[in-house]
Amino acid sequence: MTSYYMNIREMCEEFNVTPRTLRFYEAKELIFPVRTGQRRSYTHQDRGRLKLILQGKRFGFSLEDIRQLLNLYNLGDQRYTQYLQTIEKSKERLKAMISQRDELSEAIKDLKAHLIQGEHELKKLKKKRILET
Amino acid sequence: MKNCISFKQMCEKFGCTARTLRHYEEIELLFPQKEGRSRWYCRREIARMKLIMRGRRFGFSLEGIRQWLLMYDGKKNNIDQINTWIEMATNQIEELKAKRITLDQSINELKSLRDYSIKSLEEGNPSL
Repeated sequence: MTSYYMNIREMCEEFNVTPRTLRFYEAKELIFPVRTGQRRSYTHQDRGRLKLILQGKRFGFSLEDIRQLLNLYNLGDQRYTQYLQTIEKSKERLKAMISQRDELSEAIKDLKAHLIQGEHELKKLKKKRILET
Repeated sequence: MKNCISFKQMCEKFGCTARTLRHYEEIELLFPQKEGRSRWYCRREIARMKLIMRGRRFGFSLEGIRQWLLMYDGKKNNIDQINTWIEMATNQIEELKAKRITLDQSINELKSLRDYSIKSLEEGNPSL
């Protein structure tokens, strides 16, 4: 079993982040490690929050959105508001990500067409070279 | 200048910043005609800019775009150049596909979060 507290190095290894990132999230009041002098100890709760932060980042949520969503956990309304806000934000981001995906597909299609054109060019050039020699 | 557009018009036409346009000139992707302090972009530069923007959309590096522009310049086309470009474009397609896979994963993950939140909301609040 892992100990209750983790130090900064263990956190970085566990979540594949840099110390700088962890300190940044702390400054933004997203995580609250226990400070003993210069040393930071991260609790089980910090780990849970960090997991959600990194997931939120992948979804393209802003840090401020993430902070607000995380803070709704302790509102005492059986997380009603948190679920509601999560649904709303998720729908927003899904829409954006799906259109981003469409753009990506479009770019792939276009680039393939250019590639075929390039290969055609190459063939023509090689033919010409053969004729010239 | 006939059939040419100004620096400002160029920014508007391509939805780019002045900084971007100047940068492309500095790294010798664009060669506007200079008249005193003003720059004019004519047919060739506009065509090049179209390719640059498209290349950016494909995720090419600026150096990659330079290769591409060389190929489109046509006259001095050589086999090595086209080969280089084909190789680059092939790699880029793979990269874009990998990006799409990552994006798909995130989309599915986010859908799960949304559905879980909807379900939790309904279960926690039977009145809904």
